[in-house]
Amino acid sequence: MAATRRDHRDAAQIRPLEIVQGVLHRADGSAQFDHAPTAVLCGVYGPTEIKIRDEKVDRATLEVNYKPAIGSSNTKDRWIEYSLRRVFEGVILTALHPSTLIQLNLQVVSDHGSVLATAFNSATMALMDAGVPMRTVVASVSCAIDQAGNVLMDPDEEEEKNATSCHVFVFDAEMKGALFTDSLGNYTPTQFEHCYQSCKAGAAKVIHFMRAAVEAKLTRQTQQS
Amino acid sequence: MEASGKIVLPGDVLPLAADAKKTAVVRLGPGLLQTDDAIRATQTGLLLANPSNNTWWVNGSTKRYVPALGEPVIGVVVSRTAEHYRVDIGSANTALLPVLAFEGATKRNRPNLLVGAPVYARVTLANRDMEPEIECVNSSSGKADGFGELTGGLIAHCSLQQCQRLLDPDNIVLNTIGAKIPLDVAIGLNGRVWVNNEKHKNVILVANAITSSEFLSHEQCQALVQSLIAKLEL
Repeated sequence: MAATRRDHRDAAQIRPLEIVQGVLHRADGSAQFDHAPTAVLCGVYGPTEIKIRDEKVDRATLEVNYKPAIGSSNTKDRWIEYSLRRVFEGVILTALHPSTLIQLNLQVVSDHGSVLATAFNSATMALMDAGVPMRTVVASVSCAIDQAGNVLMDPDEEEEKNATSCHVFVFDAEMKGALFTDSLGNYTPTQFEHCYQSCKAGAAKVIHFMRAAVEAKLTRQTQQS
Repeated sequence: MEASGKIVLPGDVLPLAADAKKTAVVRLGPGLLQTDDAIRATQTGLLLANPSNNTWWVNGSTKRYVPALGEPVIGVVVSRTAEHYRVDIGSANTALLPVLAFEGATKRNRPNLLVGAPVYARVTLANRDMEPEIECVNSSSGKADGFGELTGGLIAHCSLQQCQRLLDPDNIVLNTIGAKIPLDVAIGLNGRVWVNNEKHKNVILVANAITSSEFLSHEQCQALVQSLIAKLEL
């Protein structure tokens, strides 16, 4: 039986999602993604001019800047930047825009757990809004295993703090395997497998939601043409 | 042109693979890519097709310009050298505009564009590994064809798709305004529209109408323009 959670969710339930695309009018693409109340805002600039120092002649350079909700960024935030860059370097078709810069700027609007997963989802939506060519859409969901061994999907900050282990998974639209995993804590291979399967199901729901959001936006945008 | 009415996301497989004959030639436009096993979308947008020559492309929404051969663009001169002007056309790299690529320009008779001058030009070189090049003259006829320096007026910024829509001769916004107010308009496909009229308030009206009509339907566009004109005549 599912454990009762602080916000009365089931163990496998994701918090209510919300997507707003095109929030920043000076950016080439932007989006805010909410796993309410956690929210991350992302602005995409590019392909733009690049400093000669960072130039790669055969592909675009990806730069990720991540700013936490409070204070200046620390080592953990640099790890988040690195994770995002590693995943999106594989997802974006960087070879189509050589010697250019694609910049991802993320700002956490409110931090109530599962920030990394929200950041991944926010970046995907912003990249789609900017029209940056990508191989696929990615979606991310995190989960935590509590003291009793229950797998709690999309944990809030309290659940993350009390968990024995936390896991983040990133999947693409084909759902063949995870593009990225990040786990912290003590856990068994069986528990990991269980987390993997739960997050896979969760990511499918997130992608479904992203598709619905894009369709709603585009039908509004293309009513003249 | 025929809309298949389908909205695609990056990674979506094109439905044509299953029913198309193996011998049929399929032409892919922007937003589509052939991978090992299928043809996939790389951008979000509306999947469109031209059945007569089996061409497919994705009409997405972008603000950043990527130069393409032959497209008209509006740029701003950022620097000048003996042989070239360097022009910002909103793409990743600034474009080169040769001093001799103007109507009637010779080594003796050079055009004199200052830094900051807006120009209307055509893209003559668009290669992802090279800087783009533009010209203000039709190189076969030697005529300007309407290209050149833009004097006066105002440059409005909008999305690339909005610019394409404005090029349509039946465009509702420009037609409704044009019926009431005489206008000079230059549309660049890089998300910039230049408008000019004797009166500044008319220029501002047109720029406002263009930038705020992007997400409106035909009827809403008409209503917007009429309300703007009504305010002007008060």
